[in-house]
Amino acid sequence: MINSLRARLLAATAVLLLAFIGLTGVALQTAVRERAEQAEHDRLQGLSYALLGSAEITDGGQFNLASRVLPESDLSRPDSGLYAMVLDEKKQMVWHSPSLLGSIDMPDLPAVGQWREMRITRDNGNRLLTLSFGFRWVTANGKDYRYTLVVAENTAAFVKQMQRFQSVLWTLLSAAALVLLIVELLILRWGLAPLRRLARNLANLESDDERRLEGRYPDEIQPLVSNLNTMLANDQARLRRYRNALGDLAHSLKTPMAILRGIAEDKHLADDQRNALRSQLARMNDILDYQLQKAAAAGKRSLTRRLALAPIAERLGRALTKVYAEHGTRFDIRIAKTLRVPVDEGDITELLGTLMDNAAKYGKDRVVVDATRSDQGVLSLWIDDNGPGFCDAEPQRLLERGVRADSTREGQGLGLAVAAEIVHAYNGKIELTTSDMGGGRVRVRITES
Amino acid sequence: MRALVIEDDVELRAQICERLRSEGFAVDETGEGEEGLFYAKEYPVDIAIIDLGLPGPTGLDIIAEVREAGLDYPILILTARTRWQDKVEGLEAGADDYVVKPFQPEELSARIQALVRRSRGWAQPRLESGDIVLDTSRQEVFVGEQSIDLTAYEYRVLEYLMLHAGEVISKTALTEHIYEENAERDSNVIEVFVRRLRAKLDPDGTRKPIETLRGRGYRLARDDRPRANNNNDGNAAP
Repeated sequence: MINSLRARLLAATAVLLLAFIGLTGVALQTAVRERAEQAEHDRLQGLSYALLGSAEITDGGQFNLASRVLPESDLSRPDSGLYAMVLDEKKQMVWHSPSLLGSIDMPDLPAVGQWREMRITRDNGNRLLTLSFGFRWVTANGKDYRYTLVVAENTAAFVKQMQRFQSVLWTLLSAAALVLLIVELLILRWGLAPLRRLARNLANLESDDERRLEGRYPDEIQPLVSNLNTMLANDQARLRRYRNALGDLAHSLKTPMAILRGIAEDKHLADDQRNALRSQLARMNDILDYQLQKAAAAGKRSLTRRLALAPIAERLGRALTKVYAEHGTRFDIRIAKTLRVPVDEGDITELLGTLMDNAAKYGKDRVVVDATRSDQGVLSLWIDDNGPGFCDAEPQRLLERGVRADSTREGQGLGLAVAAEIVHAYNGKIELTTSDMGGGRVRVRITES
Repeated sequence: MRALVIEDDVELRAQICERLRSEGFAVDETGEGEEGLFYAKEYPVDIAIIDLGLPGPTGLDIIAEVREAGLDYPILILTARTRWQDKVEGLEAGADDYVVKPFQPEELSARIQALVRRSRGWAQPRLESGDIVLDTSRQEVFVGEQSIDLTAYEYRVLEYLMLHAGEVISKTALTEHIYEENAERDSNVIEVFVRRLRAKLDPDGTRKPIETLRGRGYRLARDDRPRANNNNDGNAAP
């Protein structure tokens, strides 16, 4: 199965073209050959008539044909390739042209008044085309003689001529076929150019900010392009609407929760009531955060444009430097400027923000962010801190919802679980290990496409 | 210290303001973006607490305008949005820190205190000048080992002078930073507060911690010990 439009069209055209050229060649060759053979026949016949016109029979019954009246000079030149002879009824040669040396063995002779064409191979290997004519000569004194006139021509010249014709014919036809194939190739290139442009633009889409296919395409594929653009735009708009709606939901729920949280500080309430209020509010907040973040993750999508990772991490680093100014936390972003990955900007900002914040919160004063991409398209991203590391015996457990390393610090307690959800939305892996600085390391692996 | 609170939810705003006042802040408040922007640009604000989800000009707009006007007091944003893109936008607009709703009230206080201190170059919550120690987190004042009992206004005056130790503070400035906008003011009262403070901090009149510069104002001796060098350089609008 050929899996390319161009190859299919080309193969079909090539087969068709070769069949056509072949048949044309055979037809032409046959026609020309028949025409040439007919012409040869006519020539020999003409020669026969001319010879008969010059023949005479002596009174003694001797067949005679004067050499000087021969119609073709080739008949006079010995072994010229054109021969004539006359046989009597006993097949004895009674006359031959000076060109004929020896005699031609005729296996069969025509009846009187008949022409017969025959191909004969002589003893010396020459191939001859012979035309024999049987006739009866009645002399003035009433004597009746039966003769056969044989004219012959060596076919070597004819064969050679035919061969030359054939070679010219097939050369020209092959050249024509080649030219046609090249032209066909160019036509295909030109005709399929819009499809190639579409493919190129689709590939470029991943580095394009607009995330739409630009330019005018032929009528056959324009609807496809338009639909694709609409789909891409809708997709993006839907995600934005969705996230805004989730943000609004968070906003409308969290302000009342903040008020309740304030009320939980009321000294008039009993301690157990205050504690219950606090813990239930914290629980509600965790559930809300986790579910909202999970819902807002776009996850793996096709035709996602490639994002430079370093600027996003640097932006977060600058923002977090302010937030952790009290600790003097330094954010070291080592990601190569050239590293671009096909992930949603919101997702990667959330993932990096959560992990960098987490590292700054539980680390001492240094956070290192680095990432690489292997040739197989596997993105590795790791965030290191110089804190005490993950003290839990099973650090992987921290990635599960609701498990918090340090329950005294409220807020991003679900950070790792949220990060894990985002990574899972990309079918990626997240693991907690130890950094070179002895602190925690969160390592994320996402395979592209 | 004067704090500006811009939060559109009346109840939450009341809670925050009550807490701030109890911690010695003079508080101006509004729930409206337009008014908030006016306060933020015209009042002598020491710290602003701004909700990002305001009607009218949003919190982001206000922060950006404040920074554009060249004002560099610390700004804390309150946000209900947990997405990093929102937080980063707020911090990039010129905010210095954020607190996500629902917050623990004491965490909000701690962040506010830290921002105010840091904006004046103090790394620790304990402000020290000579043998005077002011603990901003507990609102306690010591001279040597001895705890000193101050009224709310005396505390405000001392806190302001200590945060600005080494600087000459005019009576007008002191008035502006310890009173709310619509409070009854009388700059003569400042002289009374200062006199009482001197009496409490230096009963035998030997150390003279608060200097009077005639016609210019007051100055608290600046301690020579090094302060934090992470003075909020992020305050200036980009």
